[in-house]
Amino acid sequence: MNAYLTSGDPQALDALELTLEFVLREMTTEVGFASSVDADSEGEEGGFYVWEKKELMEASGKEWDLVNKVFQLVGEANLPGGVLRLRDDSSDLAKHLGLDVGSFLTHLRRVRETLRTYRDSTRKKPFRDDNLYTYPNCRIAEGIIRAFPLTGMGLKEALRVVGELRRRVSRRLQGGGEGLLEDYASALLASLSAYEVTGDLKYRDLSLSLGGELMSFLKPEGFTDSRDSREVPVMDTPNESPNSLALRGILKLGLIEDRFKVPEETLGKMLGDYYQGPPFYAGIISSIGATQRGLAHVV
Amino acid sequence: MIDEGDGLADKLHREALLTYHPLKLVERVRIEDRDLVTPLVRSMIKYGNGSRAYICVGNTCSLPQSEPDKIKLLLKSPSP
Repeated sequence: MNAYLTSGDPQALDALELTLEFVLREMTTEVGFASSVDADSEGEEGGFYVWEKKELMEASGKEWDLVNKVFQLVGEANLPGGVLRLRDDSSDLAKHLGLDVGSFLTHLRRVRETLRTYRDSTRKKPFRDDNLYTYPNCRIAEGIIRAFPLTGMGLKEALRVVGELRRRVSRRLQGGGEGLLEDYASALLASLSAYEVTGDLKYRDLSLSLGGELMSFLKPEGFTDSRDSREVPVMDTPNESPNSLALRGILKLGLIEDRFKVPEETLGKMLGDYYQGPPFYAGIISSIGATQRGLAHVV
Repeated sequence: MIDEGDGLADKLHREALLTYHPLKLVERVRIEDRDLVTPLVRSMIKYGNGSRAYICVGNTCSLPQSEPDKIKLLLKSPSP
């Protein structure tokens, strides 16, 4: 989303739309989003996702020439075929075919749909884990809601997740153990995104409540993993760290009510000593950089 | 932005949401909800007519804006 907003690259928008379509098609449950989809099916690792050339030709039909030009089968030693991967960057492939990137991506979308329809009708889908964990649900809900003005997809499904949130957050959307920092922070960001996109004041009030709870995790060293923990998770490895999420949420709430603040000394401590290198603190660095340049508030 | 129900607020809102800034909060306030907003917002929105947006970066806020392009410009510039 941010890559597209800053670059205008149609490949970034295509990636965003493909991801959203996948989540909404394959991961949506009655209340929220499933946790995972297995890699193996019918006892075979990767079985649902790999292709053999002969089968690919049959599934492609009259599109075979294009499929053969743009995709390659990338195999693994223990797999019978390979997974489909583009041979090159989309812009280079488009140039090679004499098309502009937009037309190429539209054409590619149609081909992918043809192959997906064939695959889904000839194979058994892998097992899906429908456990509704709070953290991944809130992360994807936030992403979908933020992208909605651009994509027009999934707002109703994402708001169902936010609709399950209360002031006290659990590990699972519908009950379970007391939430950790990652649960509260992701819940706050999902709720704030709902407020920003819909303008509905009930999401602002929910955000303020969640922010109040989140502040109880804040210690002089940063936000602790749980209320009674001393651990301060600050590293983005590989996901944005719970402290980065919490900081972003609290800084945004501070634009609504000034009781939401993180002391400067704490910001310094959250950056640690960079012993793993700045990329592992990218989220916190980005937020602190924004405070230096000035946070933006549009009313 | 302040939504006066004149149709312009949708355009202003979309522009505000889809202009990148590393840390930004967008609030859309229906004019009939003006008494429900925080004191900071309430003090800001009493000036101006029609749907409009106020763009603040750091401690500096713009005059009320009614052109979507202005929102983009102000969010991208160092100081409005």
